[in-house]
Amino acid sequence: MTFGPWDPGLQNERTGLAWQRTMLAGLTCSLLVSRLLAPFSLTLAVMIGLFALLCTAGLGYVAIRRFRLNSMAIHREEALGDGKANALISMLVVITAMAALLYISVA
Amino acid sequence: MGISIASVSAPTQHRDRRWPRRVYGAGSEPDPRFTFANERTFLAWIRTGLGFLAAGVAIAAVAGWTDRLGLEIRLASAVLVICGLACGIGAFRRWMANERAMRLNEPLPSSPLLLVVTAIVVGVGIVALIIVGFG
Repeated sequence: MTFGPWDPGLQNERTGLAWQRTMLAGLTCSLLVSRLLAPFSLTLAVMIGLFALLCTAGLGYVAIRRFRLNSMAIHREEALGDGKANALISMLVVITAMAALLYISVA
Repeated sequence: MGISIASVSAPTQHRDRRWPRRVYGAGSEPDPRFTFANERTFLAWIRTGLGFLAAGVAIAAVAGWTDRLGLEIRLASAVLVICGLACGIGAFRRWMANERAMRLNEPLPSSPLLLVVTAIVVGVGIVALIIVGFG
């Protein structure tokens, strides 16, 4: 089996690391919004914080699974993963933005 | 040694059920390097969106330490957060359009998102400079 003039592992690894960076950025941003909402509504802040932690854990699982499946797919010369994880992370950005707009309107 | 998209195309043996069908229902598998690069670009847009969100919230928070938020601060924060929202939605739309174009072996589509986001950042920067300088 030939892969051409590139190492198939590094492409997948770079993409996996990009997922990790994005997860960390998302967690930081969500916790910041949560902390800033705390003086206005502690319940809402705790809920957003817990939601952010759960989402990060879930995305971490998705990212690791995606890395493994893509790695197997490359070595078997099969198709790579689909766009569900991408849609999920876009949705989380939208939810965080809604929380941020809420904060700006009540601050 | 050159490498063409066709040379590494990997048709699946079983029925392709990947989502979204608008992307995976068309064309053939592109070079995996391009698919990974497209995914990393998508993630970079997501991080940019998160940066906008953090900046928007931070402006409101820092301004709120000393005084009640004025209209201009709320407006600047809201504009940055809406930019973040646009990046989040636009990232997915761009990813879909690029992946589809690669599968169909077409040129990558252009998007006004980069121009709009740059224009808004420059606009907010100029307004901030005026407020800091003359406020």
